Amino acid sequence: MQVALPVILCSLTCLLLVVTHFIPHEFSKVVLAEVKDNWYKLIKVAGFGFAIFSVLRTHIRRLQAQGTDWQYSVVALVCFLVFPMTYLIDNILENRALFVTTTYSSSLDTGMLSNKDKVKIENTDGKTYSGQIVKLDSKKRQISVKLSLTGSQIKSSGLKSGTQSFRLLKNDVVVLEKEPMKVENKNLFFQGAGRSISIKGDGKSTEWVYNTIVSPLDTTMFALVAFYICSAAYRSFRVRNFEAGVLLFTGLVVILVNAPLTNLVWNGIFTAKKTASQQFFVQDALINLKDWLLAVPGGSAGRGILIGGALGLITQSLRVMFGIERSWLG
Amino acid sequence: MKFYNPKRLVLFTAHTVLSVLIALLAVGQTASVTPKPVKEPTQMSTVQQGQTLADLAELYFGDRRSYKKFLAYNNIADINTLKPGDRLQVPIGKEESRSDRVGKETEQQVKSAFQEKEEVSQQVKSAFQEQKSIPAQPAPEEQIDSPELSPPVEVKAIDVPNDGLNKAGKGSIKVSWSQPDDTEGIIGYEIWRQGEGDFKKLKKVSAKTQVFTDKTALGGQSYVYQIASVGADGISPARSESSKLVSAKGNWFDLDKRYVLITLIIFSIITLYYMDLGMSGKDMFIRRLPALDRIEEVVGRAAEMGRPAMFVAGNDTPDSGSTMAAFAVFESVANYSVVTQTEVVVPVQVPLVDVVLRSSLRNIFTLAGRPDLFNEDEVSYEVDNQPAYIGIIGDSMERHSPASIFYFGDFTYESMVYAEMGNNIGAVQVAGCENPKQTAFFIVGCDYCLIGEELFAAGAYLKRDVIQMATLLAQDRIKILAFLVMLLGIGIAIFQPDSSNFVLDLLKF
Repeated sequence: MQVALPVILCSLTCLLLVVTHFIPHEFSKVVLAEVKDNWYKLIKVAGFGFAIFSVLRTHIRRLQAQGTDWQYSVVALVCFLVFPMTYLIDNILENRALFVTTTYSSSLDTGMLSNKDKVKIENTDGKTYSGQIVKLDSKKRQISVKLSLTGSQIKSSGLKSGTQSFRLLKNDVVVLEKEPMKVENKNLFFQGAGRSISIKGDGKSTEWVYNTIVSPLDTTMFALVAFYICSAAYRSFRVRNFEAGVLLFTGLVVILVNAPLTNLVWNGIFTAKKTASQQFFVQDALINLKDWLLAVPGGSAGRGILIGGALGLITQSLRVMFGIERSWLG
Repeated sequence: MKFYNPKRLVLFTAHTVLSVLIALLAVGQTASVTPKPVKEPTQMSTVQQGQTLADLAELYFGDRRSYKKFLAYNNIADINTLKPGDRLQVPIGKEESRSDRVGKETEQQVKSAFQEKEEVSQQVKSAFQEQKSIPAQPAPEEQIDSPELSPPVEVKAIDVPNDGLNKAGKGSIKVSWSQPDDTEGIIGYEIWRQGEGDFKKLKKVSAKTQVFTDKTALGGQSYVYQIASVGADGISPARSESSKLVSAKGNWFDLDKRYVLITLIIFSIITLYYMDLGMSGKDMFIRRLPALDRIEEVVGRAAEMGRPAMFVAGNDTPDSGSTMAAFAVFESVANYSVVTQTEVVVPVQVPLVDVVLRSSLRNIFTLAGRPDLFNEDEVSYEVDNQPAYIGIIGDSMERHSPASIFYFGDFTYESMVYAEMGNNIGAVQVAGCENPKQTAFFIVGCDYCLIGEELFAAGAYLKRDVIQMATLLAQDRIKILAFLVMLLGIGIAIFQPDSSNFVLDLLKF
């Protein structure tokens, strides 16, 4: 049962996904969204949970063992804690909002107002701020509006905590004439505002860590490819037999044409020719040869591999769907 | 791995010779532009310095984007290499009359401008003579001529086939119409729609458009459409008759994918047939795959040298085909390593892959009767960031100095780095990758490399399971079938290029 159940589930899911591929009806979109957005994400999150546990365990064990290069495990663990902390700090700082609260008189007709209504408040200078009613208490005759300003916008808005005079507008119609209203700068993160919190990955400290540490390291690693390609080319282009000779010739042509200097020299030697065939065979000879090498022998081989790969993939998928291939079970 | 194969060499030579002949034939055409034989009346136009096909398209067809229309009248080797002096065949007809009209209008404007200039100079002369001031030229009154426009005809609206409603419950309706006989003065058309309530304008399109897809039709709601001709003044008095009632709905089968379905069914039948043969005890002979035959030997080398083996499972998630193939190969590598009591180092980049490989290794040790030898740390999730992972692989290679390394799964630029780093520490390397570009890097850098479908066949081949071997046999038969269909398609495309048939449709899917 331990094996049969996942295999049956997998086969049914495969079948469902194959069937939905041929059904353009909205039903198939719902199914696909369910599988991709919910099932897959759920499995992925679980995978990340296991991965975090695995990383922590590996490095803590290395620390305990005090083996070779155990210091790197310290660095890894520090990074492991610091990077999430930057996210946390950013989210604490960014998840702030301005709340404007006022008490209205009994004569106000609140029939036209309701919770979650989009409203605006206007200060004495005529500057308006958009917001949303988050609380409408008819017993206490209190209205609370959350302004649509994010962490950095709050500073630039010029609004400060305290009591100020505003008027409240809905659909540009004045609902409340100028009244003293209380402005509060609240942190949603600690207030447990729950759904109001938006997780941001581009806060200042996260951005700093990324731009100053992660990005340069990534770029350095990517730049190393150039050196490895050079050393691989040196090994591969040694003429040991006929095939290696062909490879050397092909590689040389492609490298030469792609180097700007070659075109400069070549065009300097062979200036514009009279006829099209002269131009094809002399002036553009190298470029044409490179294009042909890439498009005809290279393209044919590439297509052959792709077609073979596609057929192999189909057969493998059928094996998984039929439940014969079970390596994915672990 | 043996690269030399006489049959392949013959095929390669034949292909090369054929390609050279085709290239020579192409070169043999000295002129880059030659007129095509067409039935309608045409004239020749010489390309001027600085003129592009788009400029000419604007001149002759009134739209810069219609430059491909020249291909219907001319053999143009490369539209990017048009030179001054090339002579293009251009149509005389509706489009030409437009260019003529534009030309005539321009000529008239130039003439009247000259006349006006002449008059002004005359007045200046007489003013100097008579010492009088020059009378101001009255601005000519703009006269907008709104001719009677004819409405479009044959307005048809159909629910777009092979589609479904979107998340907002909206679908697509395709509206088509024919131009009226008299298109004089029409500069565009407006699409009007009536659902619940009055007709509402949806969009204005150019005079050349005759099809519009309304993607905002509510599912189940019935609509009628009318098309209005729009004149230069922007007024659209002439509206067509209404189309028939139509509503957008989701379809239950995508007819465009019918050939995919047929192919899948055929593949499944062939696979099932061979599986049945395999289960009935028939001998399943499949061709040898040298790279896979060496796996046992490569792991054995690590055992002999007393160094570990390393397995890198690529950078993709378990739902990708190549990662799934990597799982199968890992099983075999791990099996051999358990038998030879060799340590396997498995640094992993993707969390879910870590879970699968760890579980796989644990099961293999358990099945081998040595669960006590299983070391959790042999499989370790490292990092999801690709460059950082490359660094970790390099570090692992230096730290563990593996005698044999296996790269199976999906790889990008890191393939070259891995292969070179492995080569630097003197490890024997075996690789398998679906991506042709990375396969090339692995061929260069590794000792053994699986190409194309060999990666997907690896698991079945290594396990020597009869049913899985049967699917490989089926795969080979399918490949032969696909090859024959392609040959047939090539034949049809060469000898009957205009024909539309099942084989060509199948190959185009």
